[in-house]
Amino acid sequence: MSNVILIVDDSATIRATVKHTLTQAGYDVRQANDGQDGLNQLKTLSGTGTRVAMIISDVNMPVMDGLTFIRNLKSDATYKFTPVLVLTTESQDSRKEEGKAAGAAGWLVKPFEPDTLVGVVRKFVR
Amino acid sequence: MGIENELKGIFLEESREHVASLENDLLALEEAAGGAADPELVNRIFRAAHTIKGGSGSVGYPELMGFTHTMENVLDRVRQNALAVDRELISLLLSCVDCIARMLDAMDHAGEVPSEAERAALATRLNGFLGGTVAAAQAAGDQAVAVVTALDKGRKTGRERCFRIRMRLAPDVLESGTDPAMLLTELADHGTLAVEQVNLEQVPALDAMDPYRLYLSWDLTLTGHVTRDDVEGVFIFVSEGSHIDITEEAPAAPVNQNSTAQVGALDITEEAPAAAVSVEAAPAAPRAEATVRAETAPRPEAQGGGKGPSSIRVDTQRLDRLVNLVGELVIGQARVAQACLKDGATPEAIAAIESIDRITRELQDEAMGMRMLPIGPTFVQFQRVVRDLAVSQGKQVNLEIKGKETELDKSIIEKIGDPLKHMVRNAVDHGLETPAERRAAGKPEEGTLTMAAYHQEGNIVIEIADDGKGLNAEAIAAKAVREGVIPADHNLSESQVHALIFHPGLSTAQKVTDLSGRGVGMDVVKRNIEELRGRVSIESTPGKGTRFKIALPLTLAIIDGMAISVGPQVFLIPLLSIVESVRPRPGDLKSVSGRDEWVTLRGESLPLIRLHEMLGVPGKACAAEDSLVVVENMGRRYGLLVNDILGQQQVVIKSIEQHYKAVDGVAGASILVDGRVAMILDVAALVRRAFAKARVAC
Repeated sequence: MSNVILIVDDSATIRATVKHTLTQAGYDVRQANDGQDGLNQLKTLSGTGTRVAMIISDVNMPVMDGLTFIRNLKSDATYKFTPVLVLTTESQDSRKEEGKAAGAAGWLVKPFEPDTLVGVVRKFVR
Repeated sequence: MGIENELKGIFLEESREHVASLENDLLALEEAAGGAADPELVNRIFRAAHTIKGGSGSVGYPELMGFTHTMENVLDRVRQNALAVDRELISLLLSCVDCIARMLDAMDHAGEVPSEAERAALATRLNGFLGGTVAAAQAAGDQAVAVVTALDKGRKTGRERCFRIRMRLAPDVLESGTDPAMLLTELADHGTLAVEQVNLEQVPALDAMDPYRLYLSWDLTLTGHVTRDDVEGVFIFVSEGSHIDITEEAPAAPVNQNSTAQVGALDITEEAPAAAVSVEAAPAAPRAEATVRAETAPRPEAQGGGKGPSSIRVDTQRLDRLVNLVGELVIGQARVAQACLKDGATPEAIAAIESIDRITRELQDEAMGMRMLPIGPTFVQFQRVVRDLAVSQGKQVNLEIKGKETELDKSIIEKIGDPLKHMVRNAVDHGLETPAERRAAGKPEEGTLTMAAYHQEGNIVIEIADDGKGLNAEAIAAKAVREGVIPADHNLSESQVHALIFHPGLSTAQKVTDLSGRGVGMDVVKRNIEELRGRVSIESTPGKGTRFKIALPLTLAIIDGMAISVGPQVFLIPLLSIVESVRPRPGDLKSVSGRDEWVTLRGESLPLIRLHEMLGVPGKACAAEDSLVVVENMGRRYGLLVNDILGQQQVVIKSIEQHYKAVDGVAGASILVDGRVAMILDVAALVRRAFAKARVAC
């Protein structure tokens, strides 16, 4: 079972926080700056035979936003069933609904406690 | 460094970048106001505030998070076109950005945290733009937080409880990445999970089966120290098409142990009824396919080409050390070459020396290049300065920036900001007229301020030009006479009069404004530029405008110098200061009242400095038949009398101040190609010293 998790966020602070928290919890965390970078990273990872068990993605990002990124994933047979967790600081429910509609498995509102993040990730990857 | 400090460092760096981009983007938004704002621009502004907010939450800075949250709400309304952009809003947002910058500085132990009252005042003004939507937005926020904290809540309570759970997941639940097995596993974390029944009635015939759909549903009981929140938390992300019924039962005696399955991810298929086994393979099928695809996918052609960081961070002190060492290498290499060639080297040795010479020079260029940064960001930060100044004085100013990509030594970039700021302020304050004045003069109401950077003759030139009223030479001269800086019967050219604005204490402003009249004058600007071994000059045409030109060396680490001898010693004069070198005729030197000396060159009289006297060098005095180096400082030329001119050299500057102490008139020291140590002269300071008592200011 793969323990590789990809964090896609344009904020270096959030990436570093997620990486640190999940690395301590025993996951192997990879990073991408935006949706397009995320797709590129996934291509590189699958090229080296690494299966990504879960993707955590911000919504509002430059170049390619999170919703477009998720729709791209969901139309690709390789990642169609990979759970995607949407990260958002936008407290409006509409964002979560949009995320769900795009195919996200769940969401997490920033900022989050490390335990909360690990708790949510453990719902999908152990 | 602990992880918290590391995260804080990442956060500060990232947020400061966002603060800078926010400022520029807000200014661009203001410019676009009235017309249709570029949605991507608005989105970028929103995102910057949003990212700072997210990051501040992560590093535990709730004050900043709260502040940016309010700002974000307003920006969100702008993004949804529910709020029009006007100057008032932009000014408020810019003040908020300033406040954020100071909060970041305070976090970095530089400066005071903006007071709560100040933040609250800004927040109140922001909320004014939100109107009635504030409360609703805030409520939504609280609600969302509550949902997530539900995940954390409801840890072990004392009483053992039992929940009956009917889990009817949507048939397409697999597509969202939700794995029913993971849900069962998570439920099992909370207590003893019993699968009462796996419902198979929805399972179609094998040929009609879609492996991407879920046909199973479960009836479960969960017993343990568990709360309803715990159970609901498991299903928090389960999509709408699913039906999860949770009912609490009175704790019963444990049901038949044989039918109780301790569920783990893999146990399900093993313990489920035989008929379900084939069906249960369904969720696993896409996974298997994914794995196979991954393994057979072709490897990217350029392995490592697209991944990994393309740049690394290096401490600037290490870069300085590298530059220094390379500089010494160049000198060492030159000495080896000189020694070999003098003793008659073999052709192979000469070829080898030449090859090393080429490599060292390339190495030096590379090492120098690492310290170079584009001037763009320095220029761009003036958009804000110019805007605020123009608004406060009721002027209209358009800032034009040219040559953003021109690169300068990092240490020059760091030190040029202050002098530039002063010159820009002066240009808006004194140079550019009010719209009414401009209209009267037949000019467009909007004045233009240009900041440009380019290469010229091995230097970097920075220009600050305005199309304002130009310098008033008469007023400057009159003031200088009044202050006793020049005699009433002065014979100064127009450009020499213009240069007087760099004299300490001369300011021609009719009234002191709150910005330019702060006691720091153009003399400080000039000195700052000289400290960078640069030169500043002025061109001004009445009614047309003023142009300041600052010539700066490419780098502070090396210098192109002219080696000259004075007695037994060798000195270096920076090439940037030298106009020409001549051998004067004896009759060219004249003495006025036995004290001040002049040299006449092509009809022009230049003040003369005898370097051996000036520097107190023993030995043969410099005579008229020796050499004269003409230098320029502040639009004025001077003759330096030296014994001999030895030739031009590029040398690495060593600081004297660092190893000994600052010496007036000496900019540094260097090791020459022949191994001798030479002082590098600071022409501006020499001239100041030589004519400290003279009436004509320099």
